[in-house]
Amino acid sequence: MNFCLYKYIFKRLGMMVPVLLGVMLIIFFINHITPGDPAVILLGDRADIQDVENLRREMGLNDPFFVQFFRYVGNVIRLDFGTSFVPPHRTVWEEISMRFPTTMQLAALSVVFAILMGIPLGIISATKQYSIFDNIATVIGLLGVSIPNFWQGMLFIMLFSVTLGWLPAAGWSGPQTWILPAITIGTSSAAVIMRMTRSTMLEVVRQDYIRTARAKGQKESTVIYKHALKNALIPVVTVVGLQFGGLLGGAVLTETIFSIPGLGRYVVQAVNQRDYPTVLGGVLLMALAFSFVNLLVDILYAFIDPRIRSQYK
Amino acid sequence: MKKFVASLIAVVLVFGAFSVNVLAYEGKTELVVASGSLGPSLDPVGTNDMPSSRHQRQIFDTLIMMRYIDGQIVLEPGLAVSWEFLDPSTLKLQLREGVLFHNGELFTANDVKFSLERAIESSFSRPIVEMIDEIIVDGDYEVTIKTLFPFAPLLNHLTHTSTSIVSAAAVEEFGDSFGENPVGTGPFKYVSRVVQSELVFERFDDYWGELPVLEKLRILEIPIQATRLILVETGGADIAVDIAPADVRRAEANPNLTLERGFTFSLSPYIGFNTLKEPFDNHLVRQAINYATDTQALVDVVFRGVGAPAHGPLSEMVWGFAELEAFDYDVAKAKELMIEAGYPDGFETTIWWNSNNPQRGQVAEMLQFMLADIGITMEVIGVEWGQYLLDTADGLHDMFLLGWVTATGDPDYGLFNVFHSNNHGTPGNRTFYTNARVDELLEAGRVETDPDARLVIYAELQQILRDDAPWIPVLQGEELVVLSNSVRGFELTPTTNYWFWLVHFE
Amino acid sequence: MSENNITVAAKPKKKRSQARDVWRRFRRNKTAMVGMVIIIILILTAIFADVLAPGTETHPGYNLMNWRNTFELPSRDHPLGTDWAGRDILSRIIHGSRISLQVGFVVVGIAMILGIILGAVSGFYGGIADNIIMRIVDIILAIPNILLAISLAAALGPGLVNVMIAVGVGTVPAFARVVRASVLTLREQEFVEAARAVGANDIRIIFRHILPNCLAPIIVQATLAMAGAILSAAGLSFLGLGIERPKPEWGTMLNEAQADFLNYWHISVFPGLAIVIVVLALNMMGDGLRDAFDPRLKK
Repeated sequence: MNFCLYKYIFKRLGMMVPVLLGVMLIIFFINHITPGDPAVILLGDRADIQDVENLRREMGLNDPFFVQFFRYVGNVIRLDFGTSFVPPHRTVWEEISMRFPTTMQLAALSVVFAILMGIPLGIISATKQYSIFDNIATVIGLLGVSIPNFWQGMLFIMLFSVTLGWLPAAGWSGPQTWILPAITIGTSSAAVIMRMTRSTMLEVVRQDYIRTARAKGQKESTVIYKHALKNALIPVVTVVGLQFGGLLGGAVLTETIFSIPGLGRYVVQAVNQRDYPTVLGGVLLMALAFSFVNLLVDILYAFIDPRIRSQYK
Repeated sequence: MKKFVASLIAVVLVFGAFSVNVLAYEGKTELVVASGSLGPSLDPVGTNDMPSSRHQRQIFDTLIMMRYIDGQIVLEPGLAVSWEFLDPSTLKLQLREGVLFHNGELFTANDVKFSLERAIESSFSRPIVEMIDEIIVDGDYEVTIKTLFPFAPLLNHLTHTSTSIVSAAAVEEFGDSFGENPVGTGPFKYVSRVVQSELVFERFDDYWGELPVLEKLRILEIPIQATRLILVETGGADIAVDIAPADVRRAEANPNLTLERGFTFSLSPYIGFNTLKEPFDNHLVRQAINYATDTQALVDVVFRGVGAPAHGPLSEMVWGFAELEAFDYDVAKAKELMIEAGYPDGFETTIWWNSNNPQRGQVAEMLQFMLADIGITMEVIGVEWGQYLLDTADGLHDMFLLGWVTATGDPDYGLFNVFHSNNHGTPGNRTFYTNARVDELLEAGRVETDPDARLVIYAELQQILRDDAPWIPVLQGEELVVLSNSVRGFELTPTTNYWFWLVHFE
Repeated sequence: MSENNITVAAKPKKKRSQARDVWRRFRRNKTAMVGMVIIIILILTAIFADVLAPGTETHPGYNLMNWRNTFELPSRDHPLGTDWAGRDILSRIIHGSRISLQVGFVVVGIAMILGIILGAVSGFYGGIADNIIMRIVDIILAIPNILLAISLAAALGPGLVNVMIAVGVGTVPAFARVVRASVLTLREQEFVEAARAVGANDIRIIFRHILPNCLAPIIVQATLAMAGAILSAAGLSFLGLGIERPKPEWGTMLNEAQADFLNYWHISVFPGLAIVIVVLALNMMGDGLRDAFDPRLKK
């Protein structure tokens, strides 16, 4: 690594700021138009009207939209995400930091699953184009992107937890409980990665330098793994990065089905309870994680693609 | 390529490093309970939901304890050893001596005064204690509670978890975060909580009562009902509470499990009419809809026969419950009443249900189907819970579904908030029902100290409410708890605030 | 000048033959054809739902309850069994196809229009407009789609139209990006220069010359987005944020099945399969279209 790459990273980090501000604005606006009064939520359904009105004033809920929004942004800059509306009224930061690791762990495991399944299957599929294996893989790939993951989760519990009794149906307490949810979330990404790997491999294999390599009499496996794969992986890496957003989204439904104490399920619950500070904080963090992973992917890119790397020399 | 793989591994390791909390092996002195929710707070005045109360019950004591023995509700001494009414609105209590809080402090009358005053201040617990006027400390172990008016069911109210005795010192120390650092005098003390995952209690060795056999109590949050059952089936938990009616057959078929079931204080759901709105201001229409509703079918289909059709506004476990004549399912009679009421061709209306409770959605769907027979076109609308409470309190609804739990076991709590015309909206009367005679009886019932006279009052009340029909009572609630066969000493209770400290294994 | 005129005038003809080429290639792709046939069957099912699963005077075909016949396993009378209220699951799935198709077509239709306008403006004009539009696109893409939909659905309340909006907002950015990318490559092409030279204004250039030439990626994106929209709507309904009961949205059926899916396999398997089949068919068609539009990928 060198100075220019740092500069690039720095620039990219800077670009994340307006995006995150925008995310805040959108979610803040959605929350603002959502029916339900935070003051009533805080005080419980039997609160006195006068108490509610006082609390509204105290919380600044009667202020104009942008006043409230910029107050929020100001607090976020000081790393104050507010306090949850729902008992026990912990700070959003506390609540989220208890759950975020689980979701990241889940997402990371699913990425690993997706890569381990997707890339090898894609390569084999491409090198044996039009074989039975290729056809089967293509169908599986299509199925993988078409299955709603909440339904897949239900089927997994029916099959592996209840009928076969192999794996637990709930919780997040050790490798056994990780398997089903990680596969559930990772399936569609595995399919996308497989399809991407297959098509880029097919394209790369037709390139001149591969023909040259073959013509020079190199072994087929060397050609495939040394020359073709390396170039085919570049677009695949981008796809992996983009899939990460989908994985975080997948966590929302999957955590609910598998009773996993993660951020996704928590944010859904917060939406249902109109716990706006939590919704804001949760979505913001997910957006941050997503942007950050994409940045990582772009840096990885620089490692594997000599053309991009040369720009930073 | 190698660099790529290396970077990938690095990323995975970074995320993997967050991996923690591997659960330990369970011994026989550890009880694991699968619950739908951990409840938002362990502060007795911080919430009013069922799971929270149940978990608060494990770590806090109340002055008086309600126990359910051989089908009878019995009031037992808790932190108060004896009590007597000096006059109908003055209760004097003798307190237990030598009781320690979990933080080692000695329990005294000051904690009682502090706890009850704190309960009056919180909007969650206020309905339980709002009749208390003054708490007078007469000595370290003597306290007098004065109520604003003679209040017959006061003893029952002092069994409610909202009146749990908390350590005044601990509340002052922890302030708003007392819910996360609860300090009581109960058989278990709080150890830790992993949100949406588990709550851990351990035995309080200086507990004033008989020391539990259990050393540890773990409560797991498993929101999906079917999964809770699976957990007991597979040994991941010893007890699962709030089992779905749908899973009764599975539970009964499994020889390694015991299914415990019993009626509760809950009457949920009921179908309410907004009696301020046309056409529901007409009691003939309300009666017609009662006749057109096949409650037995609702109980059989939606609740799979768990619980029983309710015929009046109170759970049959509540003291003073009166047997009432049911509105039998009779479409012809319903049609007659509709004609009499002036709606021969029916009308269009809506029913709301709170979208976090799928069974209520099913009840609404079935009702829509039933009422089509008497020409009523009803739209079914699922509303988010917070919004639901607000809008039904504002009277924006036509028909709606709600439930009521008479948590104190006394009819006053089951009826006063729900039917008195002073309690329209938020306090509980979401039908906006107004009936002078009902108001009169409700007021008489709470101040009357003679139990026999009260029975007469509440019998008349229940009859009026049945005939005037501001509700269609649907379901007499029944609790379903699944126990692993090695569990002994578990007791059902109509409050569903189980005493887990009585459990041991064999 | 005359040369330019020829280019412009010759275009429609070329387009027609191109369409024929695409169709020829598409027809040869078996997977894609299967997908198309499934979608056609589905559309017919939706149109004739009331004939296939008729209702009564008081109750629509998807809501014929029979409380003495709940959770019946698949049988001659009920090929896919019955649900908690004794309703025929097949009838519900048939009527549910209407909802899924409506969601799919409306969401994609609106997202496509918005996406095309935004993408075209962004790609054609560049500069500040491009910057602003693309930043908005980045922002929406940074929020996990389902979370955006959930928040919007909570804000708007349940109902078909609200579900469409909730799902639709997250669908626009993909269209905008696709259109922008195509416009960027097309805007410097000769025939655009030619049109400009003959005095065509921007709007005419965009709609007459540029957009027709980036139909391929738009159509492919539309097919895939429709699959995504149906999936998202089902996810919302599964969480109980979707369409009012007793309408037989497939996701709602799965939501209702949640309590009983361990006891009765058929109540969750069939609605789920319906979703998978439709989404699969759309994806198969989308793949086929992509290959047909871009012959390079196929031998």
